[in-house]
Amino acid sequence: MIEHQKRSLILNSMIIAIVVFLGMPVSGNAVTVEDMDRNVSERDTSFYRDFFDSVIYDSTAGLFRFDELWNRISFRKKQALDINVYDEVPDSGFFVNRHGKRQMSISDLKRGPETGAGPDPNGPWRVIKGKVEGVSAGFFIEDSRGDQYLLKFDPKSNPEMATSAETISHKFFYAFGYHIPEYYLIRFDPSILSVDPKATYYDEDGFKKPLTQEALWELIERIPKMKGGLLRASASKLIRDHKGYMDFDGRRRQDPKDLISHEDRRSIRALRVFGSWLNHYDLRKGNTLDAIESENGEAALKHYLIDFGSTLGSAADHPKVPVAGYEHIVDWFEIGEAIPTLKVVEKSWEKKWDKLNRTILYPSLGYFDNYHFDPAQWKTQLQYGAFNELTAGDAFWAAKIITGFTDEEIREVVSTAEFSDPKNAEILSEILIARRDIIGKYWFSKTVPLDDIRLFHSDGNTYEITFRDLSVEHGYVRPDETIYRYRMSVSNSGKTGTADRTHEFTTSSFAFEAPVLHSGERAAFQIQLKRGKGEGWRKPPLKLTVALGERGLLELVEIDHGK
Amino acid sequence: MGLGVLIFLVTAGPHTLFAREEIPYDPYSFVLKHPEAVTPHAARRRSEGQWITRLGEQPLRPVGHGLGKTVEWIERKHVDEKVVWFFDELSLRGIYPTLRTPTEGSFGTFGLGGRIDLNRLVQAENQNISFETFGGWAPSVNFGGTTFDFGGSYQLKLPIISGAYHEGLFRYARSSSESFYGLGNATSRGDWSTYSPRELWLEGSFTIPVTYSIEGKASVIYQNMNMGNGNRKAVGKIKERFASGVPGINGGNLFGLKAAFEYDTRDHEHDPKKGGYGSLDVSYVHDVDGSDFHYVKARGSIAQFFRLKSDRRVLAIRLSAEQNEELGGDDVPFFNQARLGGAKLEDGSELLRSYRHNRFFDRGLALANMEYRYSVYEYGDFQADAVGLFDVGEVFSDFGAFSFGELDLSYGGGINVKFRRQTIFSITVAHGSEGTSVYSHSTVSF
Repeated sequence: MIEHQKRSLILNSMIIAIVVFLGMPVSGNAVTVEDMDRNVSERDTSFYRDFFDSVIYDSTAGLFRFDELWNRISFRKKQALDINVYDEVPDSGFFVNRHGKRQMSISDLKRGPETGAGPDPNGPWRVIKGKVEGVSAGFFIEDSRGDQYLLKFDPKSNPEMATSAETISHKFFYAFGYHIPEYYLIRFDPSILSVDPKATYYDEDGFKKPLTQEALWELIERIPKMKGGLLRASASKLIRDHKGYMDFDGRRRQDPKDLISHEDRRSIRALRVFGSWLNHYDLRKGNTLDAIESENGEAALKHYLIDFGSTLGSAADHPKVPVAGYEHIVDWFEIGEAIPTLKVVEKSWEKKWDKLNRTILYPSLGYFDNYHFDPAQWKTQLQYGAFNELTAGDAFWAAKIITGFTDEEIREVVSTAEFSDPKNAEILSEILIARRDIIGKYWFSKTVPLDDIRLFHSDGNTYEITFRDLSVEHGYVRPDETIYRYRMSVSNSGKTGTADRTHEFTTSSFAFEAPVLHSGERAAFQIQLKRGKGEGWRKPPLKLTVALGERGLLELVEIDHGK
Repeated sequence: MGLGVLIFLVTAGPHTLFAREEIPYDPYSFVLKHPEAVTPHAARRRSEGQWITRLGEQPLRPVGHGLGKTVEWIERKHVDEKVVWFFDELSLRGIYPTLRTPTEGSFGTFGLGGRIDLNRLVQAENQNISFETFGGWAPSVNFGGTTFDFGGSYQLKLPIISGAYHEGLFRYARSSSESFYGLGNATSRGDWSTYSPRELWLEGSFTIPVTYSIEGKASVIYQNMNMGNGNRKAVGKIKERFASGVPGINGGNLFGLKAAFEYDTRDHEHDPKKGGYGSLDVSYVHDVDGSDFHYVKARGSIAQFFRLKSDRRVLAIRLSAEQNEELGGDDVPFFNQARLGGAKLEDGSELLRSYRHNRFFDRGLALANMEYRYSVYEYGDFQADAVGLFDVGEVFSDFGAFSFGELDLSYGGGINVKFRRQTIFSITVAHGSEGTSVYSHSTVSF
């Protein structure tokens, strides 16, 4: 009994500690906004800086990072540290479970992070400065309510391309669970714009100049016009008082709650999978923002993803280049590999581009399709170590969220881009649906893709475990070609005891007789499957652990899809 | 009855029917899988451990930070755009700066050069006559010397024949040290000596287009060459090592007449995938100062580019031949003889890339250059080609003396980095019987 109390005490302490670190309000440990603001320094980056850090510095310094080298040589993968015992990512300043946890309604999906209606359409809008960074045309405005927005526009050659990409992708990223600022797709008459006398902008030659009404009209001349002379823009509501970017590697030591290196966070690693679906090749630290936000009187850093104009087929001011998504902007490995191969065989993206006669078929969609799309090989523009740390379990988690979007939901979210030609929405939806399935099919084949695992007590000592096989459920494989098996073993304080023999079954549930568990003992199930005749028993196995609960019944205490 | 069971199953669930009890859990529970790793102590330990395993990186950090901040500043202040603006402004005014490299050695050393289109500079409206001036300077850190040149030209359109024009050219060039190893294909590197040429070149020509891609040209040339010893340390002086027996060692004044045909069918001037270009010229040259130079020069070269089923694979072949035939028992000055060795055509020595610049001099030359260029990188406007190269050539006194057994070979490879299909940086490594040479350029080889 004393032993039991001790264990409970330790467990409770751990839970409290974890809860504190994850940002749940616990009185007595509160960090005020003022404290946080004082302690967390502001930092800046830019595309060139990100490029330099990723392409030059990290590539060179990586040769002297023995931990990274060892991990590469030994193919060692580390399990993410931000996951809970059930292999999910609990809510935090990095991620909040949304569509993956509970199916969002169509209207919620279409609304995304919006909390209002965007800039006041009645105007007037005061242009406070020109856009300084990035490649797309744009400027900052303050509407009559005093809210500030960044307006970004499409390139003249590709009307609706960048704005639709931003509109669609930010909603999906929000539904995945990331913190996303408010974006609004707007149309407005440029006559409601007035220029702040202090407004400045950088002209095409890189010189800072006062933004006059004439200069504004010159900027507007570069933007495609819609019917009635209206301008179409993506308006992102500015996050005020932010602290700059979030690193994909390391952590912000000034933030007392940031205790997990970001490359060890599943929510960061899995950006590679989410990015592959929406072709978000511009996932880089410059497209993140950390902001101090207060909840229940306690301050916490909220890590935002921003700027989705370079997703889908768009590269903001032009369509994506054919190699985008296939190679990093400077891919030393690909270059090194290409030299000795003498170009005997062309790369898949080259063949695809040639097959299309090197033309963009749908200007409003940019360059985006599924031919030769390989979720495992998809790459961001800049390389980050965190994305290489992705484990099969991380990818399964992300793929599960992506495949959770139904065809209808995808079509509805795409419809929010309000393409003037409905054919564009139709094509884009089809591409996203197909890509979703390619991703699901691939990553589900790398794990035992069982989800929604439930434990039932039948009677006496008999229990039943049920699950959903996501590959079967989504139609990627036939149910009759799958055989499952499980093996149970009893462990005490981490030491595995004798294992039971394996039991094969073909349905999505199995019953078992509970073993006699003593204090501190747990029963672990290793579940594997094989599909068709060709495949062996899949690794890594899915591990389920049960232990005696307070009521004397077994409880599911751990789920692990493996590394 | 059936409907009742169905409603019961839907509302209460089938488990109830079979007396099953679900043992619920919260999949989104805050109980972490590795709680021991998510404590301030563990985080600190991980950071310390990482610092130790990355000890070798620490000296790089301040450098990386400084460079990172610099590139960030460049972007924030739009310095790159200002630089582009600056060069755009120059070209609008007819000023075209270039990088110059020394004729040999000094890997990575660059000087400056360029040309000025005077018509654009003064915004002249007359399009029938144009003037240009050019010049450049390059240091050689290997021997503390320099090469420089300057000159000018004018071009006068001839309205009688469409596309025909007259051109006048003046050029002065000086180099503090050029290599010379003796005449012939069997010279030794042990005879390495240097000379310092100072050359004045005057040329007047008429050019007539024969077809869209072929033009004929007739020229009158005056060349004044002053020859001194080169100033490279630890290397012999030409006038000391080759006191006699090398025609032109004291320079000379020459007058020549030249007829030339040129063609160009390349699909792109800087990055051809198909087509080719070539030239054939014959010159008659006589001295004007009694230095006994009297000869005919015949020279031809063709370069052809073959697209190998894809424009990402191109085979480039260049063939070149030259013969200088003395007349009346007179001589051909060594500085106008065929030269072989090095990696830059514009410096007058033909491509034999594992050998030094000016490695071989003689009256005749036969050479084949072959390159297999294939794309290894492409991202928007930036591309890079890898190049496999093979050169084979020989100099000789006359074609009868040509011997397959004496051909000199070079083989190697390189990378051409291109921006909008124009080579901006090229690195070449070539190996041959005299060792390995490494070159860096800002142009493609041919």
